[in-house]
Amino acid sequence: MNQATKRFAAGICVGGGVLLLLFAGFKLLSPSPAQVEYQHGSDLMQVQMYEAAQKDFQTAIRLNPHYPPPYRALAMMAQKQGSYPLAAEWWRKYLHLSPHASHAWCRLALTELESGQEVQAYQDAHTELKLSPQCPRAALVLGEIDVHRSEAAAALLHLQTAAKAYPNQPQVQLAYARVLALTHQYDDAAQILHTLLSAYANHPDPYVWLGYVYARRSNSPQDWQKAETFLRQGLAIDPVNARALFELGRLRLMERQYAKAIPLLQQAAQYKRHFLGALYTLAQAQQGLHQTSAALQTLKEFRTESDMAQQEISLLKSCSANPKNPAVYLALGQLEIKRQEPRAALIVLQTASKLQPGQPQILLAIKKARQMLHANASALPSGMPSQP
Amino acid sequence: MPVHSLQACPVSREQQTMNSKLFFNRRAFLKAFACSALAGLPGCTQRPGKTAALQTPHSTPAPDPQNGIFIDVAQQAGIRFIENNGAAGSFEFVETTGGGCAFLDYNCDGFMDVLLIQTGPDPGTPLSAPRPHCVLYHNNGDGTFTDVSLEAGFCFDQGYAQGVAVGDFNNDGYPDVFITAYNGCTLLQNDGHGKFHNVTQKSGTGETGRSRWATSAAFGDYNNDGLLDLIVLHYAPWTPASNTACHDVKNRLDYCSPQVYTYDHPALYRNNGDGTFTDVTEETGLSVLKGRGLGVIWIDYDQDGKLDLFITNDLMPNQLLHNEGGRFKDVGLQAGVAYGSDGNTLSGMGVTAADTDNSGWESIVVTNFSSQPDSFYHALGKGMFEDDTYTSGIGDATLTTLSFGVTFLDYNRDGLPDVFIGNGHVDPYVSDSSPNTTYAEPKQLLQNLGGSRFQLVTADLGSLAVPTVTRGLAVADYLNHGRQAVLTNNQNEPAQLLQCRSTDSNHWVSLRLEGVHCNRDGAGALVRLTAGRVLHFAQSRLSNGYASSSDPRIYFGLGKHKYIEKLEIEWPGKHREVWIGPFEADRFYHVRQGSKPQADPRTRPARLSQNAS
Repeated sequence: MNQATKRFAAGICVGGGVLLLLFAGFKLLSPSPAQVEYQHGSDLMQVQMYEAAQKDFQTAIRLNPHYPPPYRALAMMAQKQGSYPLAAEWWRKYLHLSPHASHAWCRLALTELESGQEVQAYQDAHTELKLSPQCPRAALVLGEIDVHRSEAAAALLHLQTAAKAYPNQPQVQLAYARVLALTHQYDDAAQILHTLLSAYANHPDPYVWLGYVYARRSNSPQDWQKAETFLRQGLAIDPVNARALFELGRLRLMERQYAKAIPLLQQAAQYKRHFLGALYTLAQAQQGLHQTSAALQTLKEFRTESDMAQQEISLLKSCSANPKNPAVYLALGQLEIKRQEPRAALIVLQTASKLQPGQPQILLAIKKARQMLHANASALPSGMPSQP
Repeated sequence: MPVHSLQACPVSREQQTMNSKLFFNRRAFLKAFACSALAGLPGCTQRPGKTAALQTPHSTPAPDPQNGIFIDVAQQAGIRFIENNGAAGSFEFVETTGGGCAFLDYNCDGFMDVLLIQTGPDPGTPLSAPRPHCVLYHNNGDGTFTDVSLEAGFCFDQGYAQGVAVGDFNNDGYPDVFITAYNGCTLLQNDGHGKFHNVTQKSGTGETGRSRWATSAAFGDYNNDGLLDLIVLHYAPWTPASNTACHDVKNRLDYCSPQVYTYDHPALYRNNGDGTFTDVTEETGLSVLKGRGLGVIWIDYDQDGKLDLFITNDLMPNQLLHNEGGRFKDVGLQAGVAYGSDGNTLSGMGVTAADTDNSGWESIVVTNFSSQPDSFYHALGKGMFEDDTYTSGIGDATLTTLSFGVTFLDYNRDGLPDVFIGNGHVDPYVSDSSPNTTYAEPKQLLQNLGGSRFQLVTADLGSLAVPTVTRGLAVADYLNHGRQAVLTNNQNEPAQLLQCRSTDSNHWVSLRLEGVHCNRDGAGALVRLTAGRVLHFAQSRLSNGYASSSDPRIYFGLGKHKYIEKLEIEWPGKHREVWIGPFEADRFYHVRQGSKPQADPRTRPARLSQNAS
């Protein structure tokens, strides 16, 4: 081979190499089709074109099922639209691909909590806390669950963390104030609630909880008068607010005005299912008026509800302590059916079914819950939501 | 020889470790908590920020344990007992509930002796040495006590003991002892010569080998046949293997919520009069009850002559069991004592009752978990109660504390029974989740102001301000000086004997009942006396509070009144006797059924020894 040929060959090699490098660089720097679709979808989401965005995200997933961001985007979008069970599904798929993603477990936990999946929410919030111990969303989730499970001290601790992280979030502040009130820290609760009145003026809850605080802070007529005013303001915004009606009824009971207490407490019990305080206080008012048989009937109803509520908390805690035991989920599902809560029943029964597929009792319970759900839906007048 | 150097029983290695080294082999966290009471001992330096003053939720000045209304004299008196609950880091749930204590005059010399319940290594731990036993201290009549466990027959394995009930089940005049425990209880019969004999097997009350977790027990005659029957509470089905691992807010291993476990039911044993008992749980309707039983008293709440039962349950409703002539019916809900004021289920621990407003009816106090107020169910008469938890002042005073032992006593002898509460959390890490709550907590004294209004005493607390993890407590006039003292059993810390140092000059009276046609202890008798035209009322009760038994003599503060105008006793079986006075105050009386009250020949005041004074 002569010198010219050699030079030519070397040039070809170098040129080819450069081209190859250029191509590789181009491939590296230029987005993949999935990334293009995802980016496009994100742009559409920014301008609130959710349907189109959704299509792009799904296309991105089709193009590359192992590319995590579209799952996250779909989860966020479903969450924004209030489709919490769907959002939870997308979060789970996202976390399957990126189990260490920052603050994703707590977002999943929030959606699970919103869709009534308390057991899963509890577990996922704890997973988040292992990754990021100060995560305020996880604290918020756990605080709400603690309130439901009557774990006052833990609720206070978790919601305090959340409240510090979100000083301008009225809902978080309200949740914290509520647990402060429930744990008898009335002055601290009142301080937050008063601040919320301006930021959250059209919402009944700050008024109602201020009513709660002043009704219980002392036995002074001034405090009771304040309570009355706040509760009335809450009711003006939301005339069927069960908590406000209950607190007013309770005030009447303490004043021994039994006849005035009864209708308020009856309404409270009617507007909020499983409202133990309303039932118990109603029975006391009925006893005050010597309506013995009515009082006994109310107490019977209260006892049934109270026992079931205790069982529910007990089983929820057992689920958290033994998350792989299908029998506990089944028992919880059966209890929710008994409590006429088919939606809640279905959620836990589906978990039971995943843990023990084909188990006849679980399948039977699922069938029953579904039937109940359909029956409830068809029994409702048109336009009414199936869940209070 | 100084009393405290006496060693009554052959000492096991565990007991030695406990007595001499004061549980230094315990895990660091438990040691730290114990240090509050043992500051100054080697290896036991007090943690900064954990002084008694800081741990007193309601007090402002730093309290002086040596000066105040109640002073701990246990050390001087020779009571050197530490209840070791066996906690070694595995957080076995059963560790949280022991143990009780009792005052009893076992040798009938007129002075109240002391029995302290020992738990020892937890049930999941294999024993490397004999289990430490409960300790009986003889009252020397001079303000000191001597450990007589060996000669009295207490030096044997009583299991993972929890509580004690005292009562003369064979009507021989000498008090017998029932010790509750996990996985088997013990009945000890007093032979009248200073020795107790284990009659568990013969009696049929042992519950041996059934893995039942017995907590409180109480003697009472439910069928008015003149023989004391026995109620035994159970917490929940639990075994070391079934202990569930739970974690605290910082993900450390911790005790679970009670709701992780299910529930059990009490057992009732009918006394056959021949040293045996028959389990009548089913036929009396108790087997269908559901509860995590912790506290129990016999109380004739509707004064129909038949003893009823009040039972507290952990995170389950309280039960008021109406005695319907052989069967019991839970009427707690209708009577207004089952729940908190808004219908919330509380964690009932201890229970006691007294006539707080001179109405002739006994109101009930139930101690509850932290963040729950202790409940005050004010008797309206005829078996009805009103929840006056907050209006009485008890609610606000007890919100942050976790209370177990509770008793009424009249510390200032003004004729209005005050409330004495023993506190102590179950969660060693509680401060991490609740900054206002501590594991060891001060005790509380709520003064009765009249009209069933109570006020927390915050000044001159003395030893009450020392934080402890108290479980059982009992009350007695152990010096026969006309003042009531309190004995407390504290987890992993020395037991306390709290002598009252009130400077009041009020009057008092103490009555020792002796039944003739009813049970010899007169348990269940309704006592009404009038002094200065004020009615004072009490029911004779052998056990109350939490897992404990107090001085069976009935003590009344009389205020400024020097004479009792009228005394009326309604003995079990509705046998009523009335005596018109005047009877002098500041005396101990012996009231034998069918006879006029007389100065109690058995009782003389203690002459304090050098040590005690």
